[in-house]
Amino acid sequence: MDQKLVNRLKEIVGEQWVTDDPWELCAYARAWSYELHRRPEVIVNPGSTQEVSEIMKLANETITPVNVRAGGTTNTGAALPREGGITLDLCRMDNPIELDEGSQSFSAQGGVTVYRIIKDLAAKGWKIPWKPEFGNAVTLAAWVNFNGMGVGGSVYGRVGDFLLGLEVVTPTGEIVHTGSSHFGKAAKFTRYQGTGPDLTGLFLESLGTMGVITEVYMRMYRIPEAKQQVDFAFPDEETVQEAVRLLVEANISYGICVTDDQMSITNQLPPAPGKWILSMLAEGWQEEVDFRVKKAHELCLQAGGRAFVEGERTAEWGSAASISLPYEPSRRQISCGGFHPIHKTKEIFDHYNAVGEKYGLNRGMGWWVDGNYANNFPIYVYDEETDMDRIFDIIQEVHDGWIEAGYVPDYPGPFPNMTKHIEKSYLELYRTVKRSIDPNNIMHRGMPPDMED
Amino acid sequence: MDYPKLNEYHLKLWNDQACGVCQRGPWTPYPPRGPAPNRLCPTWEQHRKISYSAQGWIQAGRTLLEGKLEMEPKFVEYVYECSLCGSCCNSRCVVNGDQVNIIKAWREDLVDLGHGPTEPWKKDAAVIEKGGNRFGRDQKDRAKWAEGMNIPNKGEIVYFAGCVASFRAQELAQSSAKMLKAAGVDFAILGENELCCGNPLDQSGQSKAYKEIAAKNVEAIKAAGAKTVVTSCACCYHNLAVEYPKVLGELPFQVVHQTQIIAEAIRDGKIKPTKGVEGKVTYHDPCHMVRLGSKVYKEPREIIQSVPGIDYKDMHATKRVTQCCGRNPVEQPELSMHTGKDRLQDVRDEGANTVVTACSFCDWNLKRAARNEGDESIKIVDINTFMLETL
Ligand SMILES: Cc1cc2nc3c(=O)[nH]c(=O)nc-3n(C[C@H](O)[C@H](O)[C@H](O)COP(=O)(O)OP(=O)(O)OC[C@H]3O[C@@H](n4cnc5c(N)ncnc54)[C@H](O)[C@@H]3O)c2cc1C
Repeated sequence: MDQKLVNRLKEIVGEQWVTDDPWELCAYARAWSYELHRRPEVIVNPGSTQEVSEIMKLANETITPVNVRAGGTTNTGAALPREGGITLDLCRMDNPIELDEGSQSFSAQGGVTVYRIIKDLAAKGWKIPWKPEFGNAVTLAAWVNFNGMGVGGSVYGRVGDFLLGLEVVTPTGEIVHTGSSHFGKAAKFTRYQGTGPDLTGLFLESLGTMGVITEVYMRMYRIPEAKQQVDFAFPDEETVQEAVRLLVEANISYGICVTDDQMSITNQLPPAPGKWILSMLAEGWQEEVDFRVKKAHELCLQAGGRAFVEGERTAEWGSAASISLPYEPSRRQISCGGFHPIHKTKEIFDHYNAVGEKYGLNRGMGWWVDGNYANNFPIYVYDEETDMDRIFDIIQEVHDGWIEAGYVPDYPGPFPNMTKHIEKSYLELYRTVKRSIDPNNIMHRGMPPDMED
Repeated sequence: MDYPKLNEYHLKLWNDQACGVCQRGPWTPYPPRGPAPNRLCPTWEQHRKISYSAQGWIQAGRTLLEGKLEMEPKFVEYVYECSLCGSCCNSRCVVNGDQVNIIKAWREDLVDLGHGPTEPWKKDAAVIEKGGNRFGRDQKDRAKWAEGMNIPNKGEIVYFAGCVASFRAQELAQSSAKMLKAAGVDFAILGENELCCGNPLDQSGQSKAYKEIAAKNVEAIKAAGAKTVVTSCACCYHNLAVEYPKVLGELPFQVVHQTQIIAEAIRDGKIKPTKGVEGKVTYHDPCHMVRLGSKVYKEPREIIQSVPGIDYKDMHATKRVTQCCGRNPVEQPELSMHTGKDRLQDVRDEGANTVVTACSFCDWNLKRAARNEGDESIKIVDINTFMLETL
């Protein structure tokens, strides 16, 4: 990278917050992903929104690619640059959160981790809608950018459903506030207002292509009086799929998570007491929880499941509990999931299983419910040195079959076998919007695909 | 292969998940494994870049083994940035607790290849080789702290004071000796035969020199007729108890931390604190007592809580997930200061007036940080001195 540019970056943020030493770039060239190394040219740690704005202006003026890196846990390499350019690490922007109890909302800088927020809110008796299952590294802005979810998705849906607005620095360096706080003296209490379309949505799930999220405003809830988890075992896909359908229809769960028996093996847990395990979490007032748990028993038995008996392992939620396991010999795990309609579960599972059998890798399948659909996270365990070719083939094959079954990925990435399925007019609209907000296409090149560089 | 020791961790370097647990804590943030402490990696806290965490060193190490990087002086310095506090080793991950071992192996390779160590560690080695202690002081003065205390130099139990307590903060050694006496322990000291435990050599990859000094200490301990060695410095404890057997094989004596002996004496009624202390008290677990092969965290608490009417509370990030004190004030002065200040903040956040430690280095670093901040509101005291005031 041009040293003049590096020096100008140092002028903006201070020398110690810029590095282009090649050994330091290695850390930013890899993420929790099967995507292999893609190295930035310089790492910058801004300390304020103003600094981010100046960096973006400079990058835009010099047409330098910019990529934002947070915890790096997006399993499909979204946190990695295409190649070269500036990587922004916002972890210094982690001021304590501000609560607005009157509006039952909070605001926080983008670089704060989600768990720090959970901790700080809990200290005051509040919580975010979901209980996520990812690692401690995930930051709030990245979570928004990913439009995440968590245990609680059954009732609350996804992050976007509780977002009240954002502070964003656009690729050309303007600082914009979305949601009610952009108007007059309004507080950050609602995402929607009468002054135009929902611009918050422009940045939600944009995977770092539309701007740098520097602050997030979000709804918070009182910690409920009671919570209870109940676990059921099912003999096959049909019965567990039916149970989930019934639970969602009855609208009685806070969260539903389903894992297969392979997941127990992959995650080094005691054997699962059934082919499929369904865990449902209920929360609310005690009476309400008692009712929901009772009803869950009725519906799961009706679908063909059985409740765990005393001494059977309580299911661990999702896969995150053991996602980075100390296998001996050492192995990596990857996940390559997305979303599917609940009634397609059997089809999704059969295909994933067939591909897994074919390649003979250890694996496990889990999914949970976001509102009315399933979010799946298949896990494969592999050795990076010997299995990489197989991994790419597996991911390709899994996705090809799933796309046939009507699934959508959580991140298509710049991978042609995925992006070819995107509707042309959708892609054109996305590109048009992207061009108008990022005329020099500096942010996260490669998304949307086929933008002229 | 240029880096044979680093390459022993090949599989882990290749399969490292790059998942961020070494900067922020484990994948399961919920009980029983979570929540993670607010801070985890001291170098990451100082530099705020992933490169300054185990993930960074591992990815750079892999790239080096792939032949895509060349060692150069600034890169060597980078490899010597980690304080090896082992905090990241707790976060169950693919690397499976080998983070510290990987960095130590790499440093050994650098020394073997003539690239390392960096200046401060080179200086340590020279000073230790010349004088037997890390301060370049005359070994004859090593037992000055014990003048008038009538401590023999042969016995079944040997108290190993360590360089800091022997030369820099003699009150630590004196308090330790007084507490051992109060517990009715007959002990000896090695006098000028006690050498530096070798920790700076072990940390910096100077393994040959480390092995030599470890062997000399073991010989001196054997010659004194010891069956048990007691240390009051967590760093010496770690070296004698955990590292020496790795390089010398099984030792002909057992190694204990002094808190283990004092806690037993309290249990047996041999020591009975009678006076209370004012204000709120907390305890800082030294990394070397609670992880990296050791698990001494119950005993210090037992000791402190034996004080009548004590208002004691554990602070944030304790026991296995304790926060480093700063560790190497001489070799890594900035990191050490930054880390020490962070730890003092935990004490303040707890509202404690007194923080008790059980390691000469923790005592040094926390006091240094407090001095630098001009904060006299917190009393930083080693566990023996603290207890003597209650007898
Ligand atoms: C094992 C596992 C379990 C998981 N469980 C859950 C779960 O329970 N719930 C859930 O919601 N998700 C889950 N996820 C997915 C998780 O939400 C994402 O991995 C996470 O949100 C990414 O955050 P990160 O900090 O790691 O961001 P990164 O991976 O570093 O970045 C994610 C994307 O956001 C962009 N970005 C980051 N910061 C900014 C910013 N300030 N402005 C603009 N763009 C930005 C990046 O460029 C990138 O495109 C899980 C993932 C894994 C691997």
